[in-house]
Amino acid sequence: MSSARWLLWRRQAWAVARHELVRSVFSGRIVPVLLLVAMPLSLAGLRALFLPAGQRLDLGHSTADFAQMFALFHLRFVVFFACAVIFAKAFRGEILERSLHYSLLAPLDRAVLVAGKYVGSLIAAWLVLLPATAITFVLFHLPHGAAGFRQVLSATGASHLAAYLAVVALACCAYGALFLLAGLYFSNPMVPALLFLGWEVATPFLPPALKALSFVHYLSSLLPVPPSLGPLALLTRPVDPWLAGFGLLAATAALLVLAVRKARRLEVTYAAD
Amino acid sequence: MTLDAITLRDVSKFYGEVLGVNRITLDLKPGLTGLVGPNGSGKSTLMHLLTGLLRPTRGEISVLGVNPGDPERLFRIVGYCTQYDSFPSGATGLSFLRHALALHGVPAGEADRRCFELLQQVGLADAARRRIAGYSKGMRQRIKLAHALSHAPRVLVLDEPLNGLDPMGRAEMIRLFKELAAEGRFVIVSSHILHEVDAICDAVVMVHGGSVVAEGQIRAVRGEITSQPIQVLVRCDRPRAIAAAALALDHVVEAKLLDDGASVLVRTRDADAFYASLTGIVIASGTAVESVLPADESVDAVYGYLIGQPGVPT
Amino acid sequence: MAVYERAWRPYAGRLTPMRRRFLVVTRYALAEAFSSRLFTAFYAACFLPSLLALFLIYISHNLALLEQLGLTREFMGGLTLVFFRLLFLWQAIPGFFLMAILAPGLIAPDLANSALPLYLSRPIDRRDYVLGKLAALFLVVSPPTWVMGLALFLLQAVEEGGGWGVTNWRIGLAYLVGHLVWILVISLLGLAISAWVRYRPAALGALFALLFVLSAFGSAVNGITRSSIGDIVHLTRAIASVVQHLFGAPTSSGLPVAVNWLTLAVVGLLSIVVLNRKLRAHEVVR
Repeated sequence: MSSARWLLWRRQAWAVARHELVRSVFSGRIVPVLLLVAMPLSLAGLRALFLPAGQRLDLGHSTADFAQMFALFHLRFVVFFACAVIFAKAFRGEILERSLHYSLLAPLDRAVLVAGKYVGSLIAAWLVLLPATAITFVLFHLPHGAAGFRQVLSATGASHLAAYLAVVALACCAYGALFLLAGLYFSNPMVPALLFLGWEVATPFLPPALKALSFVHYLSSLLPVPPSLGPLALLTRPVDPWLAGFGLLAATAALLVLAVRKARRLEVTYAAD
Repeated sequence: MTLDAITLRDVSKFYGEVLGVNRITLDLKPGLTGLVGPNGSGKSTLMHLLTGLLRPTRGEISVLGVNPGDPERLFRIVGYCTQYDSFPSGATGLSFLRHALALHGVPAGEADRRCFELLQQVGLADAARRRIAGYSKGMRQRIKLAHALSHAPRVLVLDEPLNGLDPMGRAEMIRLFKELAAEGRFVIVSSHILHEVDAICDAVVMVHGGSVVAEGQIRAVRGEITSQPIQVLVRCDRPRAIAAAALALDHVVEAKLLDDGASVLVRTRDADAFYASLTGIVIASGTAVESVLPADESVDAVYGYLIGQPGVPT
Repeated sequence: MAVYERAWRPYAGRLTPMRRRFLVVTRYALAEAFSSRLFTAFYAACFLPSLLALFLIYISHNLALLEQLGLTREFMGGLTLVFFRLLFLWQAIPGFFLMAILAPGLIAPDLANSALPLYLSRPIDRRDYVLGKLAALFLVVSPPTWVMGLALFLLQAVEEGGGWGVTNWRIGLAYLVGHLVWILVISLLGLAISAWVRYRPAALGALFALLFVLSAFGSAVNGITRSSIGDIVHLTRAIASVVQHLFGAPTSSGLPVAVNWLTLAVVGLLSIVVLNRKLRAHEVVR
């Protein structure tokens, strides 16, 4: 492979990624994503207002509350739907807009197109979700005043925050690849997305063999504070964090390979969509 | 595969059980080629197949030796102006072209310079920073043309490129197509407006019901249609004398005096023989001839003959 | 002076009355919906809970059959409030999926393909257009929900006799009002989302996201504030509480039923506002 070709591929992939990033972040499409991320932020705000005075002295409450909110609401709903909105439209949005052919009329390997769209969408998702997660984490500690800030800046607090950010980043990678693929395969990618959401929500109640087929099982293994999943959940040993991270990245790579295969066979027949 | 021609060998495309194009074999040469046929005849499918937006169900296609399934190589030499009147949402004329050039690997500074040149060329320099969604139909057509031309391709595939343009715009674009063809490029233009193609194309490919019904230079194609005598319109001061003399020729099947009293329409099976005899007839009868014109050597008439609806000579 | 021969004659046949003109939109929407075999099959499946209930009511009043099956009359004594509340739920869930499948595709394709100016260039206005689409949803969802529910209630009342129908009048009321409110709110919400996002897949995703995410958000707010304030945005709980109240059962929301009614009213009104803003006969430059 010549270096000139690599350079061209990089330049093309970045052009596609930049275009995708602008389409995702600097347009009206970002509104539903912003509404989604506003929810955990407003939860944190409400908590700051309503937290009983007695609990303001106990930092453990904030750690536990955030863990619960992150696992059961932020990860399962906010990150999930934000990724669905951003990634599913990477291809399907252009097909519905009848503008995908402009990308296909460029001297572009379809693998470069998939890579560019994925990277652009991933950056868009990270740009919105990572700061929102960090701000929510800080806001959860706000009612404790200076002690709360010290907790956030302490080694434990910082490592917790880093772990939560890593979980969000990995979730964006994995869910993103899945929704990008769904956008290529299905004329309505929201149907498989909703079915998968059902699967993800039901994961705590599934036997271990079936848990292994969900993303949230691996993502939960990376959480610094395990959430309480209720009396009906089937508890299993968490996956080793390195294995969980590697597994999610491997699944992402496999999904992207499938997306490239599909993109290479893609034809422009808008009327059928 | 020929490196200096566009070839299709036994190409068919099915959409499920619906046939798009059927066993098409073609060799296209440089110059302006018209792809004509009514709506739904398969012109756009054929163009999509040439540019890899569709894959043939069977058969082989080569564009100057490149397989349309290899976009990296194909779109270095091909520019395609599609029929779709849709654009990326929020795009301005400038950003649309800039992105296209970025995908070609053109550095930003050079891309900007090229964008303004292109916008100038298609008459959109003043609207460069306006959103395409707010453009008129004619302007959208022009920006699509600029997109297809942006990387100066050797092969230009243009699907109904004159749609929506005003008469001035059409004339400008036709001049541009002719210039591009004169440079030795392949310019393939589809249209269902037959007289338009007649006016600009060196050769035509006639499509009907997904099949090619004829291809080549229009006069040669007309000559091949032996079932329909060729019509020649002679405008002169003594049409009766010409008609009488023409009817004496073996190959003339009909001579019809037209209502204007100054024209005779001759139908002959051998146009060359008629033209050869006409000089003698004119001299012998002392007729003053104003013009001698083939009356049905137009794309319109030929297409009508081929699909069973004889054209009306004008 | 030019003289034109008057060869043109306007249509002089019968016209659909103006007050029923919106049903033309409904007719085409229904034809489109039932053109899908999958949808038709699902629609047929939506009647299964009601048919099963019909079977249970039938055998509970057929002493000979009960005897053959080795069951006693007391076994079917559960055909009371609990039975009808469960049946309501099993009618409402498929009804919701019917609306979720249909509603996003009713307006979004018209907007995406710039078809609205075509509609509105005919003698119907925006109100007729929305009414037509709404009527399509109502006509599709009604038979497997409140129509079947009321029929089963009446059947049970007739079979049971002895003033059962009068004693349990709230069941009939809950079936009629509960399903109608459920259908109206979800239909308006579905149409509003369909008009807002323009693309069917996005509209479907948005409808589910709004219900699931808002419900989860409401629950999270309740958990964090240790109150029931989150039920204000918990749409499914609001509907459930209203229906439970109509049945005369304890409600699942910690808020007064009036607040649940208010939530539903606000959602309906907001949907109408969105429809009013988004349904315009002009192209939107994006």
